[in-house]
Amino acid sequence: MIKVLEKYDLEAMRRAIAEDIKHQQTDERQQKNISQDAITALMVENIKRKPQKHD
Amino acid sequence: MNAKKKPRVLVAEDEAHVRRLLRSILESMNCEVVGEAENGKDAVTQFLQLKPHMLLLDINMPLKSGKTALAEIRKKQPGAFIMMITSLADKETIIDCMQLGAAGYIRKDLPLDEIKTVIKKTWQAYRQARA
Repeated sequence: MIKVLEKYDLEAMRRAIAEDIKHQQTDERQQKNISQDAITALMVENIKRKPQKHD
Repeated sequence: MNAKKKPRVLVAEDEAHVRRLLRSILESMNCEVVGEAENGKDAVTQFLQLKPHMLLLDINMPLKSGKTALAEIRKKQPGAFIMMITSLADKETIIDCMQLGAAGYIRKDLPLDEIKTVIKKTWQAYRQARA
């Protein structure tokens, strides 16, 4: 066990795995991305529906 | 955009190369980039100090997320024109940002010309709604 701990930086490995999981989750969420055209249409419609108050 | 009065823009993005890219896009659109923030906390501070016409705000930033910064700015300046910039464009994130008062939403993976078109279209809709 001590040899294993000496040979590998387990904390660095744990961090690398956590980082991989984080990226994987981001990639999965990006697969659900909505098209920019649809987003812009939604946003523009929202602006027209609720005119902003003057500051 | 308008030759007579250049829109003054603040760019809040933690990655320096994305900030540079956004600056060059905005300047090519006849906008004046009045400031750059590299975290959410700085974005709020600079927005309240500089009072720009437009804020391009990254969602994932250190110290304070873009969503928190958006909520804080909109609470103090309900008419603020803020466009979110992100690589995440899932339904939940978009609806969250809309509810917090974002006027626009730009996907980072768009080609440059499309980013320009999105900014222009959203800004024009906003200006027309305020006219």
